Amino acid sequence: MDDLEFRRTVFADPKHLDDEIKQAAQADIGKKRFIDDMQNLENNIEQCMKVDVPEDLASRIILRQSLEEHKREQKSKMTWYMATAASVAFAIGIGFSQLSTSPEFTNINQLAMQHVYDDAMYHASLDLDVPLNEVNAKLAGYGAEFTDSIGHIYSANYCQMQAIRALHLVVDGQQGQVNIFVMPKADLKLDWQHIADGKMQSKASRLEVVDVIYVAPKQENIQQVQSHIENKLKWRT
Amino acid sequence: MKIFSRNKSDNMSVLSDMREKQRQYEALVSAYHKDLYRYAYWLIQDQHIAEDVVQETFLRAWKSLDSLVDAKAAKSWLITILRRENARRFERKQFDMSEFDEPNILDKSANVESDTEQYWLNKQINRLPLEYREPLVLQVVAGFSGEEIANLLELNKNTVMTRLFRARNMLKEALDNNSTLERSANG
Repeated sequence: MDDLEFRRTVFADPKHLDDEIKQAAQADIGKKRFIDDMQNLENNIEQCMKVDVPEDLASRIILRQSLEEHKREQKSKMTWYMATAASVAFAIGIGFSQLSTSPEFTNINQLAMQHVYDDAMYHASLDLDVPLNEVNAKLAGYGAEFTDSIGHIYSANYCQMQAIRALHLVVDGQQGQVNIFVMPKADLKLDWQHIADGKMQSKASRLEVVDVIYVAPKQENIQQVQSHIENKLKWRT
Repeated sequence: MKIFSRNKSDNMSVLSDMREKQRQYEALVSAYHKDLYRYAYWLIQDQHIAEDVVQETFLRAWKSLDSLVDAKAAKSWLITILRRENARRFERKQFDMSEFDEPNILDKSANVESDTEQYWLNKQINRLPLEYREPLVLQVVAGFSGEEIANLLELNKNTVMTRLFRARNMLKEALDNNSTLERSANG
């Protein structure tokens, strides 16, 4: 192998040298130095090319896909097939957009509770057994994540909460299903007080990075659910 | 009743298919978004446009996810979609002359401090003509072999190897000139 050929081969792929090249380098100190130089440069090129990737790019990609799917959904007739793709978001979106125009809701818990009532038929048969990493991928957009399992998760979908996009989780409680809405900090002119009716209760937590609303059966110890969830909720920095 | 229960199980299998697709998609995003972003960044030389193109790429990938049969080919499949998306961007903006402007990526790039060696190298890589820069990025960032790059870029392998050689040769020459300059400046 002549010198030019040697250089061309090393230059073309300095990190994957074949035996012929290695032998040539062993026999010639100049060639060995050349390889060292090139591998040094290669390390610098590698480092330079590893530019920072925008934070949360992955979750923004996933969010965008679920929004697009949602839009497509509105154009076509809703079927079960599509419903899963756009997730529960569509059904919930419709529910909330109707609710949000009605002025009688003064308490955000009331709004969430009504939504759970409207949605009850749908969730009764829905069990997607969502893995934690899937939930965390969706939570990333809100700057939050669960550090540990929060138990069985029936579904985890984006929904529209007045002007805010919430992540709606359905999980197991002691007395039945508990609905959790995670949303960006809202500046809504609404009450946040704990409410209850004959069947259900709803309570909100205003946390550092997000607001969380819990809607649970009336017998449920909602404070226990709250601390169970919030102990595992961490902020992404 | 029988009919009803059959419908229900059909629904459930559709549900699980869709969930499987979603799961597969999210795995794809998490495995490849970084490589794709970096490739787009060096290809396009603008971090915001690069991000848009990556978003478009994954959106298109979602729509045609069923056509991805071989999981091992996923990365080159995504790169091919990204190149097509980027070409489409040029078709849309064919009268826009901004592509001939000096790359503006250097000023915006937050992670490259000026006056460092990395900054200097960043600038040299950006100055490489696209036909040399692109195979280099595919090799260094995405880890493709010469043969894979040849397939992606629809070139023959020798051409790819020659371009990789020229790309590094240019960087090496720039580096040598730069250190000569520095020496004479110090001396």
